[in-house]
Amino acid sequence: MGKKVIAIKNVDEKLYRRFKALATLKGLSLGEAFNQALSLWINISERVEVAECLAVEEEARANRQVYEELIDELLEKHRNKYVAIAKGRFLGVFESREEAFNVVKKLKPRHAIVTRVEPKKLRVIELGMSLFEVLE
Amino acid sequence: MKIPYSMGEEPPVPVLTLRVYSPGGDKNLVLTFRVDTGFAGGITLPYDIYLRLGLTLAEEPYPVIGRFVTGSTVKLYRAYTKVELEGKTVFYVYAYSSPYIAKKLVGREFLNKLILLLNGPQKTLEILDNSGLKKNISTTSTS
Repeated sequence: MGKKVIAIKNVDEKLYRRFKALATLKGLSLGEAFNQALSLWINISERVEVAECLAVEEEARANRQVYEELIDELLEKHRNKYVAIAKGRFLGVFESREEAFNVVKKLKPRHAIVTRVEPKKLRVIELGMSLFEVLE
Repeated sequence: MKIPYSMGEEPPVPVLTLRVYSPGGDKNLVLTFRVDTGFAGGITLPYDIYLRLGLTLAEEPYPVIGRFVTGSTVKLYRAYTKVELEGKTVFYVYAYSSPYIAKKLVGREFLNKLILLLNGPQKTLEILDNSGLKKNISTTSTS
């Protein structure tokens, strides 16, 4: 594989410092880490329409904000019911997930929250080794 | 039922073929998932498939943190959806995804509902007994 020395303008200093620190932590040279970052970026960009992802994320942020604002009240009054939030609007309290989703569908959003009203813990899940590949 | 290992890689890998539904049940895709007992969740989907199935329309409010064995983490979105095995047994599991996830995995949240035999020498995965699943609907915790 050919190796090349390149200089890049306008690199965000903060991002670069974090990148360098993480590369050091992982025991990678800057070049190795940069190559991994390039591969990952290309891989993602080829598979997913970036503009679509950003549009989904924008709606998701608005929906999550609404949920955050309402959660205490919902827990107090509607525990174990289902709620729907889409297009940055609270759509109501429902008896079932299906009922909630049917209301979401009519709005044709890119993103929606359909969830049971219950205390949510920050959950960490293990990802298996299958997400890694051994390159020889 | 015996499912041959995927021979597309070396060594061959056990796989399960599942029909994954959109939240409204109007769309579905038949997909082959790599069996991964190291993955704690239900299934992972590449983000393009997650979008295609409309799973962003029934998401949980908070993303979960996926932790790799190296300790690094990734934010994962998740939606509760219907998955069908062998065209008859229906499960409800969380589908996890992120633009950084490229592989389809089936993890313990799903595998622990089944009796499976990984027959390495014959390179087949065998679903031994579904009698406990005869009622056809099995749900997981929604927390």
